[in-house]
Amino acid sequence: MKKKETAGINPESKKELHNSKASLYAYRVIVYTVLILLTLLCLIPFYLMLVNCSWSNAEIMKGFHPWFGPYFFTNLKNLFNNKNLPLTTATINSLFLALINAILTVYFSALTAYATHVYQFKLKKFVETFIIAIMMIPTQVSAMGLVVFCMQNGLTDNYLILILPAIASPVTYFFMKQYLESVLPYEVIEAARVDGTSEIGIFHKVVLPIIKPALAIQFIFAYVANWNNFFTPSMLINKSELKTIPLVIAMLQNSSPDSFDKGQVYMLMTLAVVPVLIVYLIFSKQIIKNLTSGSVKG
Amino acid sequence: MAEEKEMKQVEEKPKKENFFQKKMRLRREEKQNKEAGKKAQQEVRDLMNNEPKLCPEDSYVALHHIHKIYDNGFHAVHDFNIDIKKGEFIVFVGPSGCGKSTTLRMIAGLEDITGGHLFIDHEYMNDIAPKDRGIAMVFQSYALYPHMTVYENMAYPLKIMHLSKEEIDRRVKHAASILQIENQLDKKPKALSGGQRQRVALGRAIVKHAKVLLMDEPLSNLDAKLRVQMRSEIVNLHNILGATTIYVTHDQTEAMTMASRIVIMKDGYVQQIGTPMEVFNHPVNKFVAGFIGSPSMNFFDGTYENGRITFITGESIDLPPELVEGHNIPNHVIIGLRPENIHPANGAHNILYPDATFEVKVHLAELLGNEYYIHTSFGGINMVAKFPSDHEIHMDDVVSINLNPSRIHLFDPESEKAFF
Amino acid sequence: MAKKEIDQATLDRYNKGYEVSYLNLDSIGQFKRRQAVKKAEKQNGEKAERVMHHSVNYAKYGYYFLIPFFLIFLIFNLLPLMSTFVYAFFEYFFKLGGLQQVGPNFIGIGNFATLFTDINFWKYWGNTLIIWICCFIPQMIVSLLLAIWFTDSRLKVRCSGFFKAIMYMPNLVMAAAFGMLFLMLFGNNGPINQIFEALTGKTIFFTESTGWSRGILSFANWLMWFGNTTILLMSGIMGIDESIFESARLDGSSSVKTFFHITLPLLMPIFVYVLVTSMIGGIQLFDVVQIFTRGNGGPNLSTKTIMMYLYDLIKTSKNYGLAGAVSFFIFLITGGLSIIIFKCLVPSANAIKAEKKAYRKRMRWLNDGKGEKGGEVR
Repeated sequence: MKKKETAGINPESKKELHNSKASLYAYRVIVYTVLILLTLLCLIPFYLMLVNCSWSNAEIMKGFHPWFGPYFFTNLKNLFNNKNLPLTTATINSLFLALINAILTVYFSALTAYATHVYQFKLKKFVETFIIAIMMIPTQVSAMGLVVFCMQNGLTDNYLILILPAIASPVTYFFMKQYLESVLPYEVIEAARVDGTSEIGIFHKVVLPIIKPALAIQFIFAYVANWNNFFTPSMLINKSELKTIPLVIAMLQNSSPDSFDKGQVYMLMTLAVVPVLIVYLIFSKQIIKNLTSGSVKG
Repeated sequence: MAEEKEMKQVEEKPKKENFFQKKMRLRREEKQNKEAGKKAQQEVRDLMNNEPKLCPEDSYVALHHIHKIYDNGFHAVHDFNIDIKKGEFIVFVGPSGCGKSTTLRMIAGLEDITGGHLFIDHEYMNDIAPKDRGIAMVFQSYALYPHMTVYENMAYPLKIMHLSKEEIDRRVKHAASILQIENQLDKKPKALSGGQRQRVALGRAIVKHAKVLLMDEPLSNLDAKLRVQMRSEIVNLHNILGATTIYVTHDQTEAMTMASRIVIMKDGYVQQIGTPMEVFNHPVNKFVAGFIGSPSMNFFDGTYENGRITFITGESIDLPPELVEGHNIPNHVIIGLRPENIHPANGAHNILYPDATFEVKVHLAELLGNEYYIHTSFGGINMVAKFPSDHEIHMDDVVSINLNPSRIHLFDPESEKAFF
Repeated sequence: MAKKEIDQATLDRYNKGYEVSYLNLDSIGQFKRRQAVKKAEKQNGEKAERVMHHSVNYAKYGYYFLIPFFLIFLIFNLLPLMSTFVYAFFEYFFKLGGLQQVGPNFIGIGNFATLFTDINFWKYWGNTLIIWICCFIPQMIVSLLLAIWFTDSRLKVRCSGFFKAIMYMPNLVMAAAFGMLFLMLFGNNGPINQIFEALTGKTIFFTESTGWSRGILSFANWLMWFGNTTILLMSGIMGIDESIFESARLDGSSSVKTFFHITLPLLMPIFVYVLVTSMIGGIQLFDVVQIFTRGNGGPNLSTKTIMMYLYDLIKTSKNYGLAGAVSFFIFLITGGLSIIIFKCLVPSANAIKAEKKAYRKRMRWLNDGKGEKGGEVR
């Protein structure tokens, strides 16, 4: 068998090889540069915030120090002792309110999603489309009616108004429904029925344990959303003891920025932002995985 | 006393591995795997580095010592060698995970070749981009662009090649007429049935007039009847176009009916390359013998002495001398016999091999229409035999079977290689 | 459920096993049940209703479990929404610093007339639009780029999990705190100005310049949302079969060509979804701007968004009539945008119509008694 010798490597192909490897390398350089730039953009505001909250007001006014200072705990103490800002109560209010809201949201969204997923009833299609439709309505549109209603019936400064609406949350319902569709086999429920469990018992003992991951993630999202909530509480709460952290931040806007203790202000922002971020960073992998799988189904 | 102490020590060792330790361990193992992988890749690359890049004259697609090692150290393909002539229909066949798809993707350029040389039409192709290799590929999931019509799907590769509009139109219409999808040219893929989508995928591949046509399990997503129909159509297409085709499948029936030559792979190693007849009649090891042919070959344990094989249960058969001449066959062997070489011996006129007749009891008789698959117990295993269905056979019947001694295969118990 | 009479022909067809129109199935079920009851009565001589329960009706539990959601929704969303719209047609505000209540008096479209003739109203919409566009366009470009890079199998970005985590982080930040942060950073004595002064000796008055204020607000909004969009687009791209990209690569399609001819058209549904939700989010732009401009709406009302105006009307000037009108208008716009999403995402009505047509066609064959059609069954 005669062997035909190739002319070494085809010069044409050498160009291709060189091209593809070099261009890939250049491409990667660009990509990583942009990624690092964006990361810096995301991190710099927080870095500045953290750095500044460890300096006293006088030091901040003097000039910018890009490193950490010794005033962290001083600022913290001053902030909580500040008589103009009801911060201790605000923190407790925020924590407590967000917790109750998150629990209610998650539980009832799961219940509603379970109802539309498992039971066949006449209005089922209508209910599903309806709930998805209301997802699109911004809550601020109905805020006015709520405010007027509360004012006329003296329900302002009442926590019930802030807690109860959390039960109807279409966005959480949507995620729960998607998760249920992919995870819950119908046979499990039939087996539980055969065992004699009541319907609500099935929900508590069988379904909730199965969807625990989704519950956890939605709890985090609901908690964060409630912690950050500003619009509606600001219209319904006037009493100082009942204010939440966003409202306290809003209280600062009445005076000019030069007049308050900058260290304390940075510390306030840190308090509002950092706990959430720490929890997020611990669970970031699961959160992002949940987002990519449970979001828009095209 | 010392034993007790040893046992106690083993017991006392806490087996608790908390979260961080586990993470550390996993990370360490990953790193080790990566290093091992890099080392192996370098070794394999050096193997062929100093070899001149020679391609045989008559080989259209040549793979010489092709290896594939992934970054984590997994050696997917070992030393793949084949010279494919122009116009051949080669089938890579094997169980899942044997490396056949990986090899196909290496030929296509979708995977990097770790070591070895690849030639297409006498050109060295290891580092060339897929689009310049002159290949066309049909994917298992068809990979049709969902937002384009059938016509646009088939025209897309030609548009990239900057062909004139008339040429594109001519080629697409010609391919559509061969594949009988002229009426579907304006539809989108989601409006087509599985078989039609498959034809569009084929059409998209053949309009390129490529040198080599690659197919990655194109029929696995179709139902059984359609598969049989499409099989003959693909062979027909090959006869019309005469293109060199490399076809990957896990179904040995497809391999046997379609191929001019079959490559059987297992765990990354090539087991045998040959025509369907060669592979069927002269399998080179137990795996190939058991893989090719349906229902698969029966394997018995037994002994061999002086031209006579004895099954574990005591029966023995004399082998024809021309079969065993010149082979050094050990005492302990694995005996292989295909179901179609086991004949019914009821009635005196049917006995062809009087010395190899035995009586067995039928466990199960599966009627397929024109033949039975008879399951019996023989030689220590559950044996399957193919009987014609001219008589009725029922469970617990006692039948006489006739084994064809010239069709017996012997395999070495350790290496599983065939002797003849 | 109305008692529909069944003709014998339909019943025969059902018993023989042919398909029957779904409209008749219900009645057939009822008919059989009635027959079973009659049979049982004959046998037992009493009303044997209990005998024919072949399955417990669980559907009612579906209704029970929905009650909390819908009750709360009714009370806290629907009713207030209705009342908001009702008030839109009423004159209802407080004079003299909140002491004297005027109204509610019905004035028809008077509120709307006031709004539409108020040049500031349109200015607020303009502000909202400008800030949204300056945020949205970079957001889309960057998110699309990032989504492609993260899902490119040839590129293999290392530590992509880290990058994704950091980029999504600003989404969870309290918008009010973010606004306050940017106010402090870009204030006249803030760190940005301090660095700038150290470098060039000049100060930029960020909060007093229209361009800078809007730019900073767009940037803040962009920071908060681009991570979210990236992840959404990523999930869209990952939903596309990998072999389509491989096939395009084999055909010789360059990255640019692949992007425009294949990736983008297939991403259209998600793209539209992101577009419209971003628009609705843009209309809701409030927290950051409110705190950053300390409720004033920036230099010359140039950064006052429509939501800030609404907030103002409800809380400060307590003009509930106008607030209702503004809410109503916002509702109409977001409703219109939502209908667009629905049309793009939900399987189009045409597909359903086509299916119904095919069904009717099949029924016609059966009614002709010709039996099953020979040939390929789809």
